[in-house]
Amino acid sequence: MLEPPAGVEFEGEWPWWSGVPINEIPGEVGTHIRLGSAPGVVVYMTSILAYSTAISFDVVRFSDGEDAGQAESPWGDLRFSVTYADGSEGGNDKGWDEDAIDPPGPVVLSWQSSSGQWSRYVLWPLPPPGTVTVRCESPVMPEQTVTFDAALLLDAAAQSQRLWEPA
Amino acid sequence: MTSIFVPVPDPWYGPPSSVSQPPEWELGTFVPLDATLVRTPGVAAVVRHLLAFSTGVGFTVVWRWRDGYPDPRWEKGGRWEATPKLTNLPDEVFRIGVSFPDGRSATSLEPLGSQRPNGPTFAPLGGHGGYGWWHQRYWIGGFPDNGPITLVWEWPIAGVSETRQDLPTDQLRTAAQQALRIEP
Repeated sequence: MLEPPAGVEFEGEWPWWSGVPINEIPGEVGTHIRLGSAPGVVVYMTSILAYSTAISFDVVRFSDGEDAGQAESPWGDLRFSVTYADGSEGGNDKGWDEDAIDPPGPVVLSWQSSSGQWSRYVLWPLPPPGTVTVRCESPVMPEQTVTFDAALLLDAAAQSQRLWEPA
Repeated sequence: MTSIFVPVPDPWYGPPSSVSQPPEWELGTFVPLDATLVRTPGVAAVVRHLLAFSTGVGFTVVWRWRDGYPDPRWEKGGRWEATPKLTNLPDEVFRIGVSFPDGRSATSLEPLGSQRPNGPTFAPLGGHGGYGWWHQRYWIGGFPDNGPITLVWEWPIAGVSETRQDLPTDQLRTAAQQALRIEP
């Protein structure tokens, strides 16, 4: 099992890499990333905060309301994956075993969601330098790809501040 | 200087302000801000993600606290805020609000936020977190005609007396004109 980095405190009984440090103030990423669109729908990655170990962010959907009121919103099947410059890949549709193994690559973990309008995620670990590729699709949105420089996240993570030693 | 926090005004039951919520079809424009609201050996709170919208400003307060130190989510008997004209606020209550140069103000102490038609609005939006951490979003509806938006906060139990910091309002006004309008 992976040991948490020295001096970093995490909450609860979940694997440490599934959360964010609770003894750090995160750095902020001052931009929104457009992940994709389809007629009547636009999807953004926003509210991005960077810690020494991971990233948290929201995925927000703006919709013209055509799918409002559906019993099962196709938005609920949004899938996206993240590929780092070293070739490692993870996605929100890949499960993980909390008891047995450490994840082999980037993990996208869902925290919360609300009515298909937004979802909150943790991305672990931080990417290596280079290009980060995000692929996003849903039953109402064909796969789309966006790339950005990992420095966007790494520079923000470098701004995170350790507050105190773990309890 | 007169406190903006007491007395807590009567709740407003009329129609809400036209700027009571962030615009539904906008993503705000980021404006850098270095603002530490609380920093003690066991509690920290800073502002992150200051965003300019066409009708106001959003921001997030990132909280961290250690076991045994004040919890910013303290409530007395649940909805203590619902008590109108409260003049002696419990020291445990973290309060935050805004003051405009013309004397208008609004705070977090009003039930459901300040929604008066003549503004400004100050309203909590969503929050999330857990044991020892919390992220709370706020919305400031409206811009002053001139001068700065001043953020005001106070938390007696943590030794934080009423503190004021002007937001970079000229930058926010400029950024508000560039707020991203979403058109699916």
